[in-house]
Amino acid sequence: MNVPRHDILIIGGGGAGLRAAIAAVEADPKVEVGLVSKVYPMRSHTVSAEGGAAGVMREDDNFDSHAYDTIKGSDFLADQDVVETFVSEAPGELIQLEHWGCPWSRDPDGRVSVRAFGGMTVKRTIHASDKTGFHMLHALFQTSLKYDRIHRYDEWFVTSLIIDEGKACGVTALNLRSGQMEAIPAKAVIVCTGGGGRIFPFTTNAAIKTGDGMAMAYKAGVPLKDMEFVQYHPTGLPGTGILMTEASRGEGGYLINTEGERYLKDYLPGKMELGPRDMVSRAFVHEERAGRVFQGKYGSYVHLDLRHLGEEKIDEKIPFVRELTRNYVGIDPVHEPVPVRPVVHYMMGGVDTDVNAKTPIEGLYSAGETACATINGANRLGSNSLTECLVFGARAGRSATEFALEQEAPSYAALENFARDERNKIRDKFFGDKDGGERIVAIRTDLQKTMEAGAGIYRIEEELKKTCEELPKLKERYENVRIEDRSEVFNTELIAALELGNMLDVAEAVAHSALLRKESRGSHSRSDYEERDDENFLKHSLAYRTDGDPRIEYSDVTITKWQPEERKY
Amino acid sequence: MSSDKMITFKVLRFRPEEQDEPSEDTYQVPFEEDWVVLDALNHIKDQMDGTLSYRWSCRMGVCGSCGMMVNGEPKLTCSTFLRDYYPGEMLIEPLANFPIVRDLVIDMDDFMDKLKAVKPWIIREEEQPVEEGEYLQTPEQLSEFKQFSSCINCMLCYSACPVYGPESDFIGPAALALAHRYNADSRDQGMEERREIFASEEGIWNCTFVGECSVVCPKHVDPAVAIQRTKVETTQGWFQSLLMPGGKKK
Amino acid sequence: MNLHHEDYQHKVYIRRKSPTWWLRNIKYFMFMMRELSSAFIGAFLLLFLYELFLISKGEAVFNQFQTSLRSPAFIVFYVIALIFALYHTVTWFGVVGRIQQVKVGKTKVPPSLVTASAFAGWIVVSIAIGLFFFGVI
Repeated sequence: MNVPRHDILIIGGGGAGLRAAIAAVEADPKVEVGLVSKVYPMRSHTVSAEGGAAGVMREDDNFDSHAYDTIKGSDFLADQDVVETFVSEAPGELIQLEHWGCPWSRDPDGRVSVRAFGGMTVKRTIHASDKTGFHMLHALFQTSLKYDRIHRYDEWFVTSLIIDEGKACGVTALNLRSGQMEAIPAKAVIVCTGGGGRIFPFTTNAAIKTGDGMAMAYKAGVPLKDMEFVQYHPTGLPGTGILMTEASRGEGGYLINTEGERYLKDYLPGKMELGPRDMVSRAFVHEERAGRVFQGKYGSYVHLDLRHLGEEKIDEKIPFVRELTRNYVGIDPVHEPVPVRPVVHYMMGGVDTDVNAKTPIEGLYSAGETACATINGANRLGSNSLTECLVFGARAGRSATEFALEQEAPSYAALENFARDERNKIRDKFFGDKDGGERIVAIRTDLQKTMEAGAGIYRIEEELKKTCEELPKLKERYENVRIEDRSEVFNTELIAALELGNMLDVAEAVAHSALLRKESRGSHSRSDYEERDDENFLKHSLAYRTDGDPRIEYSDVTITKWQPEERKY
Repeated sequence: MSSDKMITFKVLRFRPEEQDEPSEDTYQVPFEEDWVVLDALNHIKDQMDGTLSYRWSCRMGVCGSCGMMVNGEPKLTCSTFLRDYYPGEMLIEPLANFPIVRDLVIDMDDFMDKLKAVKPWIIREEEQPVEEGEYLQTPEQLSEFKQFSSCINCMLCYSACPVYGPESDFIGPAALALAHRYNADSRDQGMEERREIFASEEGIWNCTFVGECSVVCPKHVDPAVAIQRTKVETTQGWFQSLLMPGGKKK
Repeated sequence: MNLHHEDYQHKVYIRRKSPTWWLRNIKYFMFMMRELSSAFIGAFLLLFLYELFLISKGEAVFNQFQTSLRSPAFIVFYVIALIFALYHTVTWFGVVGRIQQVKVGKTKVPPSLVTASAFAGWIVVSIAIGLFFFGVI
């Protein structure tokens, strides 16, 4: 067997993963990087991001302002030292991406344009019309093609992290094309597999967002931090959940209820439609309870009114929004308001990392939505996530390189044992002779239903408890999941089954962390504990996997300059 | 399901471990007014036949995964509505002009190699340090190449191209459009370096301007125009170098 | 050493295209007709050049050739060649605006306007030639 020699292995080929790969090969001329992704990198979910990426780009802006907006947006749960590093490196990363060809929208004088975004006091969100994630991802991917030292494993599904003697030394991965399970050795591993929005029924997230990396790290003993904080994006299309970018509000769009009013005046009189996402989403629920929302085939919704922007502005600034609404709802936003409702969008929580993207396990790093460093705390501001991928992807690449160059290559013999065990485990579980068994979709649908009921926008003890009791039952049903596809070549049903296992792990971390946080902060809103409780809960939750329910511990939030205060907009 | 209407789906299958040639399976799928072909395929896989393999992800026409032949035309199945075909039958096949790996999954290695071959990255003699800020680029300069940067790599154009089918050496519409995207970017200085590839026999000169690539492109990239413009530029550049030898062009 | 895709023996199925692929799709058929039009245009030009050459051979030879051109076979050829030439021109003018970006100062001329100008120019030149041919000019 040809043993590939990688110093660093990166799982996930999205914004963070590609940025880490490029940072690694640029950090040292000798380092060899392996990039494993279950889809071709251009398909990564970064591609769907629309609005923009924030950074201090102009003279009327400063780092403290961006940091404060981020920290306040996080409801003071962000680690302020990490935020300060983030805001200081953001502009450099955005310019670097510009140098790599990203077609940022421009002002007449040739400078990169900035637009307003939710929770930002200064216009600092740069964008590539309203397909920023698409252009960023393609710029990163195409730039990564320059380097022969980045070896890609396209359509390989990583099933587990190999931790030997407390150190990460590779992964076991399934080659979709051949169906073979291999152990890929490395001296450092970076997990950039994105979030897990698909554990909920209505989400902007693509099918691939099943929390694989979070689950793998969790199984390896790494705690998942702040998992209870799940962001609902206020404007998704009902039914499909397709994202209507925040930029549509940034460019001046209104949210209107059945009475024709911009109802946010009652909740966010200062920022109105440009308030932080958790507050705008909660406002929808209040309007729903008051009966001032429209009813449709896929539930209730409000109107996103863009008509007053005019056709020219819409085509110039948010053309993708127009394209999507015409295609999927048959509505032209130039002439009619768009139906929207809050849908799950982003996970603030994730793999516990520090400012250098290091996890508690030696040689294991994480960046992007998978990680929780954390800059986003209890609620993320729009346009911070794309920048986050760049800043922490680069930091992860450099940290992992520094570490890897000092290590010995792992023993292939030891790794082969892991691969063999993994092969047998999967063969026994999915390809054994079984009577009965359930279809994947049945378990997955029930998982999504219980998460929506217990861990939705508003949460309450009884519902959360029900969800926490339901999850072990779902896990038991999962032990008996049946797949029809017994082939080896491109078995996507097997992949769906493996993804479901990961989703169940992620869901339990979310539900239990939410149950134990008896306060409301950021996107975690408890109907039974409506106030923020800094005395008891100005802390990060850490969910550790056990044989039963996860064990939840807490760690302190790092505060440097900004003392927590009331969060009003 | 809101109605009892059904629509017939004929799907090309290929199980390499069991078959030497593809076969066709037929399914009766519920017809929903707002369903796209992808919804029907997911329904088949989830509820009826878990062995059906296909690629998909974003379901909003931006990731490029879900290209397939729908009644003989290359389409993104996430943006193709059943209501435009009902009550007629649907025939779903893998993208034409590519080898079939399994069911509706095609081998895209050749495409990936060609993307890389055109050197789709900014090539400059000297990089400006990041500290000095962005390269200035006016909106007019951006509009020179913006359209060609919208390619989602869905490969529908390769399926529509009658040259790529029989002559798989042809670099193809998307890759050549991507080369033009960089050639036309005011920040790039790499046209000379790319010329060897795009101006080769397998490059722009293999294109006979059928124009189908641009017709099927879901993102209006217009690769046909990108290739013809490259032909014009390359020819002009060749004449210029003949008449003015020693003049340095980009 | 790399676990690259080339290391694996994949069994793939390659679908063969029949040589009559262009007959099954109207768009491909029209494309082939556009290609074929060049043959007819080329043949017409060769005939025209031959005619011009015959002028140097004297009036008798030239007139004899002119008479032969009035035979049904040649008339059919010229009609078909005209149809193909018109088709070629119309399709060409249709795309020229998109390929050749025309700028007036800083503003881009929209492709439809370029196409319209090409047609307008063609009509003007055709009228001028016609008037010259009929001795008016």
